[in-house]
Amino acid sequence: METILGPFSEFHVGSEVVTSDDDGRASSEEHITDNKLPSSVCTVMSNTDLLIEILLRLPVISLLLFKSVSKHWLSLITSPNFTLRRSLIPNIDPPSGLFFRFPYQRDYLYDLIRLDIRLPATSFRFETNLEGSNAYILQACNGLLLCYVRPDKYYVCNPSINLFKMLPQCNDLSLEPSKIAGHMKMAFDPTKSPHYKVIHSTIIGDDHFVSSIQIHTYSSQTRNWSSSLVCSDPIPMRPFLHFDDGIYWNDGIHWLTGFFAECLHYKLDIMNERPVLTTLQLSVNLDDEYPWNRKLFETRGCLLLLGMDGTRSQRLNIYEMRYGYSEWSFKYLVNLNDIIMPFPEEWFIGSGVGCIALGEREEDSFMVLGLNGNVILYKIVSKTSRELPELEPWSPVGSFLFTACFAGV
Amino acid sequence: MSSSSSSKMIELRSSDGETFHVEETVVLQSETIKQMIDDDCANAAIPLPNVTSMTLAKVIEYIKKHAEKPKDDDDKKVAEEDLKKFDAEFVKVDQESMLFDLVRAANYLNIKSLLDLTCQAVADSIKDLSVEEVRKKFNIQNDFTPEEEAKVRKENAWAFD
Repeated sequence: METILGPFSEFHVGSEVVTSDDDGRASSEEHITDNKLPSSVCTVMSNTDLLIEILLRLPVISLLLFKSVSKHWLSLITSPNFTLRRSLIPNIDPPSGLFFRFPYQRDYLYDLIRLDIRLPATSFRFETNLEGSNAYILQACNGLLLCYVRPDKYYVCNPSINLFKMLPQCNDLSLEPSKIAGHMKMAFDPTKSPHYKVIHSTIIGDDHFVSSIQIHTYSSQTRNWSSSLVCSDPIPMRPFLHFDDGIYWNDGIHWLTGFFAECLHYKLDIMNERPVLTTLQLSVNLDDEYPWNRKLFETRGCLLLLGMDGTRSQRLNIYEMRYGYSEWSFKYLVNLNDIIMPFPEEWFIGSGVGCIALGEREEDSFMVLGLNGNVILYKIVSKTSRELPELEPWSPVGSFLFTACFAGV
Repeated sequence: MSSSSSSKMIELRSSDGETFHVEETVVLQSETIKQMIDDDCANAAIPLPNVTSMTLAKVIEYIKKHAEKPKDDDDKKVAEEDLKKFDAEFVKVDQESMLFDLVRAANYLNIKSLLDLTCQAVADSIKDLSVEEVRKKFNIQNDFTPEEEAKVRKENAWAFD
């Protein structure tokens, strides 16, 4: 009910309109009667049930594009029953683009950099004017975006299908709105549930004495906020100072804390009624003194840890943790000298790396880096890089993966 | 449950009149044939008027492979891997029309895993195409007017409950 159709987004895909060679009858289901095609192809493609079975197995981005194949395809792909069935198929498509925030703008504007070349170059713009103010993307999570709209509104959006939902106010949360934003996290994993959660942590107490950590959770299933205290003894305030670095993976919010070699990995398990905080073994030696030289990423069901291979190194190590595992395993080595020579003096992972995405095939895996004011897409396996449109010196931080999905909000 | 008796043979006849003998335990993967056997209609050769001998041979190759039972847990992992490889190879057919023949046969014989596998293979073969390429591949007529098409491409006509 609170779902509204948003004012943005145009999926004009492909610019030219192609007219078919055959002139003639507008057709219903049986457009496929050509004798150039093998009869089995005709039979299958004219059988609506079988065509639906095939369409259901396409990535969502292809479905968004294929709406304009014909009226028949349009009606199938946009039928409520189809979108519902497709949204229940538990897989995560590879990202089709990257949202980038225009720098030096007073208002928040995002441009979509396409990774799927079938998307038009620049016509998808995330420019949500919701209640007189543009949305600021806080987090992208498997196709859904968590957005903040000044002064005190939060939205969950599905940019693929133009759905927005304003989260109801949480009465308990009476902090200064800008302080809430950083501590707001979204959890959505379509392989596990069609519902999402939004989690907020509050440190209760003062500088000298922390009495507890309160977690507010909004569930799209119940459409309500609930609150509870973190299960842990003693009350750990320190880790929660870094909660805003958290990312969602495997039923929990994960983040790193710590200085020098003493780096810790925390997981706040959010599936239980009472959130449980656990400390996970880092088990790899991040040989660097700076906490801003390590970062967690989530991609295609894997948690990735990016760290420097030694202080002042130009080599980055990517470690991976898979579902069901609690240890890191080495995945890739990235030598920054492959990308740019000479390498800038002052460069840190925290401000220099926007996102990492593992591809369906290994060679599709890439990371987005900021180097000397340019934003670079670097293919990890082939070690090739290309500069993303050089409009202005952009920062990779504030870039978000665009993954097409049919999830409702 | 498993009828370990060196199993009853079922006779299948393809549309072009060729007969195939398959163990009952194997052929039960087809819901359609299972129903016929349950209804006691399988005493003579079962006619499959929609399936050619070439397609039927492929289908039998598939269900035979999928009927193999691993002996123990160690074997199970190996068998799963092996089956994955088999499936991947199975859908690499020389003639694309064979893939569609298999979709049809899997649908008619109601073998769910084979329908999943073959529909996924068709989907994979078109997922990266442009709209124009899809139309060309399946000879689908563009029945939009240019205005309508521009509108569809712009608009998000999504219906949600």
